[in-house]
Amino acid sequence: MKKRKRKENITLLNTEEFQEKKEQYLKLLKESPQYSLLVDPENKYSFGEDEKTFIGLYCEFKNIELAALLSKIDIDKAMTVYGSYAAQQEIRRINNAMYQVQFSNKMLSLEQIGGYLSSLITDNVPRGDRITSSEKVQVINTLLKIHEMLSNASLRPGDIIDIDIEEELSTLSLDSLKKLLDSSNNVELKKDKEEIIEEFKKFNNLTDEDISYLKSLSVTELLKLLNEVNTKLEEEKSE
Amino acid sequence: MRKITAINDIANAVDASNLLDRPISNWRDILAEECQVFVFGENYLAKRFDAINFKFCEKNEAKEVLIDNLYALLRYKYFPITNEEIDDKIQKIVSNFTLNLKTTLKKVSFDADSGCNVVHYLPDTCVAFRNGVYDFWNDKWLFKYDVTYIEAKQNYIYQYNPDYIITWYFNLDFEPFGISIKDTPLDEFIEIMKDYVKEDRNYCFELLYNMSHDIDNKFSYNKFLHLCEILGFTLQTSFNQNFVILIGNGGNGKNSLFDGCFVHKVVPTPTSNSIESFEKDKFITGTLENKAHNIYLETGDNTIEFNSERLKNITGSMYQTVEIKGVQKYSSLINCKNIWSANDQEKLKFRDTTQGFRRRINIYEIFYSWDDKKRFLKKGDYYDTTFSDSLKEIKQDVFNTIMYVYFGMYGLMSATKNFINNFKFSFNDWNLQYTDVDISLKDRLEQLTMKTIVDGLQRNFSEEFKYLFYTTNKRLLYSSVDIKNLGYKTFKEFAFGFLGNEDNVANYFLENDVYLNLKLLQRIIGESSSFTSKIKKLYNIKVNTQLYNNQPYAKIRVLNDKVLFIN
Repeated sequence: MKKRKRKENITLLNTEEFQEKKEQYLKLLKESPQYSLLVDPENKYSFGEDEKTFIGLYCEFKNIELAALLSKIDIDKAMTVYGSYAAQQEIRRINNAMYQVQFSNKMLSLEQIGGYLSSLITDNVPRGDRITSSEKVQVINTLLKIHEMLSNASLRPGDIIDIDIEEELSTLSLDSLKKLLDSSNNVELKKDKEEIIEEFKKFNNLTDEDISYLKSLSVTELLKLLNEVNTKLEEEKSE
Repeated sequence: MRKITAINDIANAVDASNLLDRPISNWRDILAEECQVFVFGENYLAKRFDAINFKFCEKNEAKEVLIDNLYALLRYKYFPITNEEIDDKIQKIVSNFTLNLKTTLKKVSFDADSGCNVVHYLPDTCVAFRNGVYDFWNDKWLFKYDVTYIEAKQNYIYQYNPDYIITWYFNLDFEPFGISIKDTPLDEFIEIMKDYVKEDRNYCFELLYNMSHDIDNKFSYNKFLHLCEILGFTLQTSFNQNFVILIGNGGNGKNSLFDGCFVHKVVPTPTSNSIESFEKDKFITGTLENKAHNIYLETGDNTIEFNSERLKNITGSMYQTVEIKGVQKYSSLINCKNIWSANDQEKLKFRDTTQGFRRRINIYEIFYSWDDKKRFLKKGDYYDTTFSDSLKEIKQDVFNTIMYVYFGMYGLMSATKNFINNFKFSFNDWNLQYTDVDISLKDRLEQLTMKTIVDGLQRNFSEEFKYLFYTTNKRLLYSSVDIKNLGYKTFKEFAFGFLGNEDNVANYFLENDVYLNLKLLQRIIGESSSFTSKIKKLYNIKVNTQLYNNQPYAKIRVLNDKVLFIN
């Protein structure tokens, strides 16, 4: 009985209902101006081209000075643009859109992991790739965890956004997958992330949406972004 | 437009989860910027979430609007999904935010030196519509609103830059006509519209065209431009001291033009207070607050004399004391454009003839008159503007309102010299018949000095001039104790000795008000008919007839030799 229930759960990912919901969601992110990563896609605020560039770059690097240097506007104008109602609205919207993109990527990655794990427990695996019975139990448990996360995507999206999928999926071992999904690791990760985000805060006051987006990045991604900001700033200033 | 629907619960849940962890205190800054309720002086400036225009209001109304707005924003913009946790969070945010309005809301003012956030009316080049604010001078949108559609409630949340305060708008979705008012001169636009109406109808243009004919039934470009300036006056967002009176017999299109093309599309709906009610209704300020237009185009046959005091006050300044029945008076802003009409210029009389007041009146005389036998078509180059009494032909075609706006913006551009100067009508059919007092007499009396009176008395010397001055103790001035103490015993000594000495005159009248005989003054300055009643009307003074032989005396004060009539 228990076995059958597990099997039902495993096949949940392939249900029409879930697939339809997911497709709808991805379509919405792609097509709705609300989730567009472009600045003012509906041209509501009549921004100038340089202002649009500045806002786009700010959302990318979370640094007013660097965005001003790259968009070639002086810092006073940059501060005025940044403080304006329209720019704040757009920064807030784009951050939220970026957060959604992060979520959708993680959701797709989890689904991909789920697909890979499912393939391991089917009988159609070449003899060399077959896993032992004890490993199968581990795989099924991990798979159940993934299914739970995905099926609860609309109830507890935080569970998905909190996991850090950094490695190439194909190289993930069962152990590292388990570690990835283990929430106890998150405490340490969150601490690391907060330290890096503090570095970003040194440049300017980040909005709550800026911080939410940064928190959705993995530690590696955060470090990479911070490094990029610092390098570009030095380059621009030396020019 | 952001659509709040159940289209995707994943997207909504992700949006919400992003916000749920935010501390309540962090919501204050965001909501203060977005809640659309501001502290304004002693009162509040508020816009309900589904409205576009702000209104001035007191604390209770502001709080009610604020709570509505916060729930709308939190439920439909920020937390589009519902569950118990989210509901609790929303409730906590709202109660935290509304505990004390003055410390959570932004304080705003229209004055640059107020030390708080400065807000602005829309620039005069712009007009607000349901879908955004369009800049006609630069031929582009100033901004479009952030619109959140609440499908479940069939309602909208409108938000826009809080630096701008929209007080009225056209309730229609505007699409530019493809004509730039900067690049296309008005005469060219008239020709374009003339071609247009050869194949299609545009009642707005046709009415404007007909109403711009002169007394000889000839189209006058200047009259057309003047009429455009009047439409522009109604579109102007800045405060304007002018008021407009349309003169003409019935059937001249004024009702159709304003009711059909303007009034029914404007939010808030213009008020309709007669010019008389400005004189008589002490609660008139209450009806004008939060209104941008007052249009009353009915006319009576009575001749009405206006004291003009309240009208002068209301049109003179934006800052007013508002009086509403049953409510304590309070200070607020009134920025309302007034348009009235009259059948006949003879029947409107304004008592106030100061230059300051006179320049506010703008009169437009309409000579065109529609008749059901259409005789007017034979008199000149008129369009056949025949439509039903309900004006449905005009009201149903939004293009009439759009043309009203375009011609109005041409007028506003003309009256402000390309939006650079303050608004000033280029034309005015006003003439002196609109006052019931003699302007030339007023001008002469304003030049009246003691020296003029003394010179006149000495020139026309006779014993009767004994009665020219009385003291405020109701004694003849020449035989009063003060004059006798100075050594002038007879009237002749008084007339030539005392009054002949400029220092004596200056010293005495500097300290003493006196009564002046108006009949004798009339002889001195040579004015003939109705002299006393004209002075009474001009200065709104009472006349004392108890001093000598039932003759009228007015109290005067002399300042720097200038004679002032006082009560």
